[in-house]
Amino acid sequence: MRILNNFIVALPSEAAPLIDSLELSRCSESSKVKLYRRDNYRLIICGIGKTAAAAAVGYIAGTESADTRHIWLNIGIAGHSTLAKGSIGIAHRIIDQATGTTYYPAMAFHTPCASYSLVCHDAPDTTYASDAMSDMESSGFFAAASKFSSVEFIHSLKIISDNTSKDIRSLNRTTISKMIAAHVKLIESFAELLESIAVKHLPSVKALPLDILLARWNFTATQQSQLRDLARRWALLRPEHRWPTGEIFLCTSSHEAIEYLKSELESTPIKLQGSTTE
Amino acid sequence: MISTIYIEAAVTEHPRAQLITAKFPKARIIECDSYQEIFNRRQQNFRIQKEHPALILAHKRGRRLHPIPSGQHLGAEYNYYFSHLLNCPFDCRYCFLQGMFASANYVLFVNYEDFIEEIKEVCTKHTGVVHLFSGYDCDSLALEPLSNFANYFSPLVSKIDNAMLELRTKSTQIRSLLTSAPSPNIIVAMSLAPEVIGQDLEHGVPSLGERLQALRRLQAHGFNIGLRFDPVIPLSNTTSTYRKFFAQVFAEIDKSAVHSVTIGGFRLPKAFAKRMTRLYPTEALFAGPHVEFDGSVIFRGYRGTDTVAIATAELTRYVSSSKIFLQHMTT
Repeated sequence: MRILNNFIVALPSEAAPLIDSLELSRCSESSKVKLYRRDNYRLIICGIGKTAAAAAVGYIAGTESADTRHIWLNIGIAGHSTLAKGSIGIAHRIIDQATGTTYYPAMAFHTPCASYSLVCHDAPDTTYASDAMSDMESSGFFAAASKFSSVEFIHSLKIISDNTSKDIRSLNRTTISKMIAAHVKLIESFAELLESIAVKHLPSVKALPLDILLARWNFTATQQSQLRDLARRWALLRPEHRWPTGEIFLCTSSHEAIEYLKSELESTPIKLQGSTTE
Repeated sequence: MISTIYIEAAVTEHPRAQLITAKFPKARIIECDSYQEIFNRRQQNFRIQKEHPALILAHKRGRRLHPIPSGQHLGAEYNYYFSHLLNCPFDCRYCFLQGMFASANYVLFVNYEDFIEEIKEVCTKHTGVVHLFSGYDCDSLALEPLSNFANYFSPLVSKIDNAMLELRTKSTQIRSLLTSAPSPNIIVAMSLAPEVIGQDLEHGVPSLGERLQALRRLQAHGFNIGLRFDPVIPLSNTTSTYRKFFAQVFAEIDKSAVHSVTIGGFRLPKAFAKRMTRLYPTEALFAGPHVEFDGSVIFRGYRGTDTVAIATAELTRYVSSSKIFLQHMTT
């Protein structure tokens, strides 16, 4: 099982510090998508807006193998009425201002920074009306990412770029990059935390080879599914036994082979640490 | 420690909700319209949330009392369960809640008064004894310092002549019971399992010795106690394990003053078993011998051994069969 850390970022100036720190390289496979990568890191500069963010999520998920476990982080700047410029917040609630749809990222860990609501607008907003951060990508990002990962692995981290006393018009590429750069280490360690949770709680199952059995008999699709499950149980219940045993080759059909495996498992005790269960 | 509290907008001003949130001054409070937005959504991971559950404070709408599933009673004619709380702080690998709920967050319904009203209505409707089960979707006592559930419900249910409330638990949170007058209308039912099962499969649960000590104190205080040996996990050495286990249990408590005993096999609805296996694909417990019957997965002893019958036979050495209630189906 492979775990990917995916960063969805709207602007090049927001992405630059992450690209530098993570030593990512531009992927040449698609000139139309600004995708950067290294090992199990992916970063897309998606452009402004929730649709662009959703498309970026879809692009990464669609180009990776189906069994990949994805961690999704939306990184960028946001406004807030009172929070200090340069401070960082994680979204514990994302509200799509246009539709009213609300999303709740699951905070199943000690958060790396303070958390706030985040309102996603369709156009730049400088009213600072609510006690929430405001951006333009988060709702599209979350809605799309939740098609591919559970909500524990989808988060928006926002650096406050403007508030009622710091005008958004004073921002430029340099100041934005500096603000993001100040929090790159926190962002990276947060990604590592999520990755460690994924490693611990999304275990991969030991896959026993099925080729020799599949070559011997013709298994229907249903039987192949049964066979995979029996092989999974075999690995757990009979780890010290040879797979597949020689006796199975005395079977004359796929049906017989499956019944044989079932019968062997029915007579295999489960081993708890302190005892033996049947 | 709770670090995230979701609260339905409808209960933000509820005194019980305010009392509870005040106990967690450092927690982030997140308002929502309905607990179901967080609790029932797809694409969340029960296993991950179990390590760091959030608390959701909500208002229970609709029916609050439900007839119990068949084969789960203690001999009364009228039987209902209710859930002031969904989920439990313990992490028992065999627990069906892992398969039933999408989320491991705790949902606490704060409108206790509505539950009590419905209990009164139902008990008035029936002339015979009404058994009320409070621990189907949660542990009745484990979050008592937070919920104040037993402390609130016990005296009120005690005033209803034909009501019998079961508080089912694995916890030792009995302080509020020990500081109140025991009531004949309350049964404190402790779920117990042999130590080897407790050590391997009941994570975060008080030890068998601690649970027995709690039962002893409750008995001494005058409470009805119940013993719940459900599920019996299939063991290759079932006879010797359960013989030793029952000897230990009945050496500690006054068996003549036990209200009821239940025992049942390890069985799960098929859909729950599938979800639990997906959550714990490397857990041998779910890989063991089993049969599928009538929408359920029934885990049994190897080569079809009826481990429940074996354990029940051992149990009858200590308790009259009239007090033993076999739960659900076994094969």
